[in-house]
Amino acid sequence: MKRISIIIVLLAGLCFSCSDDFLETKPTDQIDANEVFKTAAGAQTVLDGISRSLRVAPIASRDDWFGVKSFDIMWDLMGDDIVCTQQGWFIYDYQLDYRMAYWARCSYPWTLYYQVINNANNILAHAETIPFESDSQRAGILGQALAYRAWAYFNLVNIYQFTYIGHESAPGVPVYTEPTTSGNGRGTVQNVYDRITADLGEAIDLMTENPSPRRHISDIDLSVAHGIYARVALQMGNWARAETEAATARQSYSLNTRSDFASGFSVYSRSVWMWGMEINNEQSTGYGSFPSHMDMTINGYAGSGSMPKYISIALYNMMADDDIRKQLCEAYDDGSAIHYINYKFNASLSGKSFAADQVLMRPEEMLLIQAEAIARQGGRDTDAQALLNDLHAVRQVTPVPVTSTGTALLDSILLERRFELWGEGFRGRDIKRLKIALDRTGSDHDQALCLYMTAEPESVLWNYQIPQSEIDANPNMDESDQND
Amino acid sequence: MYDYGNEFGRSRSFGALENPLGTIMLDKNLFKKDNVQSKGFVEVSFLRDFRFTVNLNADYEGHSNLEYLNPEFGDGEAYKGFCKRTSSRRITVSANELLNWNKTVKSHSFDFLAGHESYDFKYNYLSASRSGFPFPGQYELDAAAVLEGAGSYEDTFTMESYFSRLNYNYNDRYYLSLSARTDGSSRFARDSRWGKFWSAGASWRISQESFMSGLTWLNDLKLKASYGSQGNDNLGTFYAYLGLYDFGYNNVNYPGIFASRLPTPDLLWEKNITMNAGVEFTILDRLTVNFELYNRRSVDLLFPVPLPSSTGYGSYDANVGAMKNTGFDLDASFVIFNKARFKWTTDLNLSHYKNEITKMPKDQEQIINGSKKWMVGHSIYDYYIQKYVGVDPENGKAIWNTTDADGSIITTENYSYADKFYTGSSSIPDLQGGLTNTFRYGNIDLSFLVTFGLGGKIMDGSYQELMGNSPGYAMHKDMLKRWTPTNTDTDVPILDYDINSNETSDRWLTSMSFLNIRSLTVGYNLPEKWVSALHISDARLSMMVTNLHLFSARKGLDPQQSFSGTTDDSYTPLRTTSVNFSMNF
Repeated sequence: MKRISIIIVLLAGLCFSCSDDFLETKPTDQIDANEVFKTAAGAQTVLDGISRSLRVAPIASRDDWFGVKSFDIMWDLMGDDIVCTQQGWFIYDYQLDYRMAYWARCSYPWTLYYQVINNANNILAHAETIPFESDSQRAGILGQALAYRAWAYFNLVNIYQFTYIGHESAPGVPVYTEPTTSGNGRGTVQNVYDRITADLGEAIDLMTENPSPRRHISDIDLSVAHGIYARVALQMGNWARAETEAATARQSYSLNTRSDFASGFSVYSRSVWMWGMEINNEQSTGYGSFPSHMDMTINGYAGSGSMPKYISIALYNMMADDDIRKQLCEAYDDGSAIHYINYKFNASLSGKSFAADQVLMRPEEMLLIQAEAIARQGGRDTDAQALLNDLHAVRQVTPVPVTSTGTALLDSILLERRFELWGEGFRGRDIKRLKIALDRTGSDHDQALCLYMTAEPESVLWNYQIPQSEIDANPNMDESDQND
Repeated sequence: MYDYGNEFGRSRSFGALENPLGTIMLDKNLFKKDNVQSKGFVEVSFLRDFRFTVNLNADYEGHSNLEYLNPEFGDGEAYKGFCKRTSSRRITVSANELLNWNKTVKSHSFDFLAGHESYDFKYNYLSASRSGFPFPGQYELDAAAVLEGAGSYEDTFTMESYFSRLNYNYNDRYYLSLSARTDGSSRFARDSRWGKFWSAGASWRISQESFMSGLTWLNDLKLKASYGSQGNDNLGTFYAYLGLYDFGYNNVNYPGIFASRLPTPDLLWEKNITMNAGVEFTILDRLTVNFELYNRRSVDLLFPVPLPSSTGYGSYDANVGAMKNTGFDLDASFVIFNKARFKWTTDLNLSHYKNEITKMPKDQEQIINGSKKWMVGHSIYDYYIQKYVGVDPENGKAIWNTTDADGSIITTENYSYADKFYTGSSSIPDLQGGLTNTFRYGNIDLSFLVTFGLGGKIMDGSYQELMGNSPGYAMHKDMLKRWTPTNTDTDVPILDYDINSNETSDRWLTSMSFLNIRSLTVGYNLPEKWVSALHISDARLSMMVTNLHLFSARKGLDPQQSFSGTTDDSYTPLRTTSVNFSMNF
């Protein structure tokens, strides 16, 4: 017996590690990059990874980091249409004081959008070697990679530089069209837009020539690609292009009805969305999520009263009384003042909570781009009026036909954007795009909390600095490349 | 905490979603751990001078944890209760085979060892969580309905080594030691995973020489020197060469992955090459000293080199450069009094070292690493941060130095405009050590150990946090010195919502010097006649106090926390008092 156990220990000791592969190990929660692009299905997992990255919370302790919807809140809180009354997450955005190089809000969009770009570049770098099973599959995967890249650059350049018009030759953001480890310089805003329009053009061509049915609401299909182009063209002042892109984008969608609009913005199938994020319980980011911060009907930061977001009284008062968008708002006395709760985001209606779906694009935005682009081209005010009337028909009970023309018409279209897209991140972006002054006076904003009641058009407060970590590590960038 | 109730808006602005009483009473955090260790060995001696040994060790550690948030109060309320179950196990198997040869021929003695070793580490993790608990007090996954997450993974790390060592000594006078080894690590790619290391050492016991025999006051004298290299493969990941995508970026029911790591197939072992020289001596049976000088060069340093995040990655692992540590260690023991009634001995150890970066990668001659900047000629511990000027007496705002367009130094209220500079201080102390004194008088003895550090600066992040302006958080009493319209001569800024106020700068650099009375022991040995009357061999009563007192620059600051000079909110060591009575039969 003793002898046998000696032999066992000897053999075990000697043979253990005999194999040549003993030192070959691989992780099981990650995949070797060399395996990814061996199949088209592998490339598709990267696209789905990009989709998911738009709604991941990368740091457990940061409840204001949950992907691109956190940037929508950032943009809106920098504006005038949302009123805060408490200290909490996003307060520095409301105070227009989160833009400097060392702050977290400065680095997060930069990091996230560039990760999207890198993953898209990884797909595109393998365009020639991925064994696609059909042309439409190829067009779908490569087209989406291009569109994601364009969309990410568009978001970046609008955060880290003033708008396109008048700043074409200002420093842009580094442009990469292939995976790399060496940092590029800022180039110009024009360079970035050249990339954006080229990518969108190519994506649209690919998907037009080789159409495929849409798989899921999170996919960038042809209509979404047109929709992104419409946003870009509007930003560039290319009104004719904006009009046609927006019209093409929404042509297969009806407008959301009054009851669609009142369905809570929490289940994509209950209303008409062009692009959105379906979210299940497992993939919800919990307290750090859009519903937690914006939905007053569930027990998150907003709904618990910890950091409620109200609709500005000034905006509320401008809406027609029979407008569903006004009817969803309710006065609330918080003990020191009357504020208005906007029940537009209402996950409770569908029995949801933090795992509510999130919208990224819907046909009404396209209609408003179309209307604005038409009004700006001049001479076709009746067309623009008709579009506004179409929208009013599905928002108001007895809409009054729009009769204004010229600048007044344009102003009412821009105002309509504030009514329709409240809480979806457009107001802050529009203030920067339209070069208008911030004016929080005449409403329920409290100067002691919001610090800035007004700001000049194109105030430096709207321009995010390049994150310090980028300046420190990028050999093609130094302090002289920094925004003011 | 005051309960404002559940009605909307009736909420604390701090910790609004928390209910400490409810969660303490009803939440559960259960941790279970199993540990099994086994060892086996076989030793065979043959041909008189040879010995062959096989050792086999296997360790198992299992964890099973439960985190449960109750459905009624606090964080779990929004989920109607939340449970996460995790289970993990670690298995480590290592084996070595050693061949020994021992031979003494006249005054020559040899000791040779050759061996092989392998190490296999496996870690398995499994977790699942659910929410929606209908019955209070039911907390296992089965009681809930909604899947909130599930996952599992396995990590493997292996190493293999071949090594040999020869020790030789002649007449207990000349000693020589040679060793060589090669280590293979699964962290690195096939072609670069084997590192080769060797060492050589010699010592000369001069006091054994015949010409020294006349010096009776010198009990022992030895000179020694060594040179050798060691490897380091630890860079925080088990898979240091592969380009990787993270799993888990699933898009609803579609599997998704996301690029997470750049391939680094050329990564090598970091090498530490140490040169060491020293002397040991004992004089008059009273004073024993061991003094060593060393110079440790580290080449091919493993470090995550920061990448511009516009590349999509934060960093990549690389062998980035070289640095050296030079210093000395001194151990001395001195019997000051040695009388029958009274004995006093003192033990002292002192050490000092300097660190200097000697090489940086060509394309990155400067790397910002937190509050430090790495560049040739500086230490990796040299602070490179913003210069805090103080408070603007006009408005109470914190101000820092910056450079204007003409290149002259001005001040700014905006932290992001502030310039960084080498402060001239580092987180290495100039000198550190410990001192033990032991006194014995008759049956009573007393000893105390004091440790100390001199010089160096620590970035006191805990103090920085306590000087912050977040509502609801604890504050330091220095906040009372803050700027107010009537207290304008201060360096503590106004307490307002300004995001800039207490950002990282040399304002938080605090002296690292400290003196710690680590332990104090008083003992009494019962007199012999009592002891023998009780028929026991000895009996002793003693009292020991540990961490008696820490003198440092700020109350509560423990500069012994970390090398890099940052605080991490760790608990200061507990003061314990114990009384012991021991008897031997």
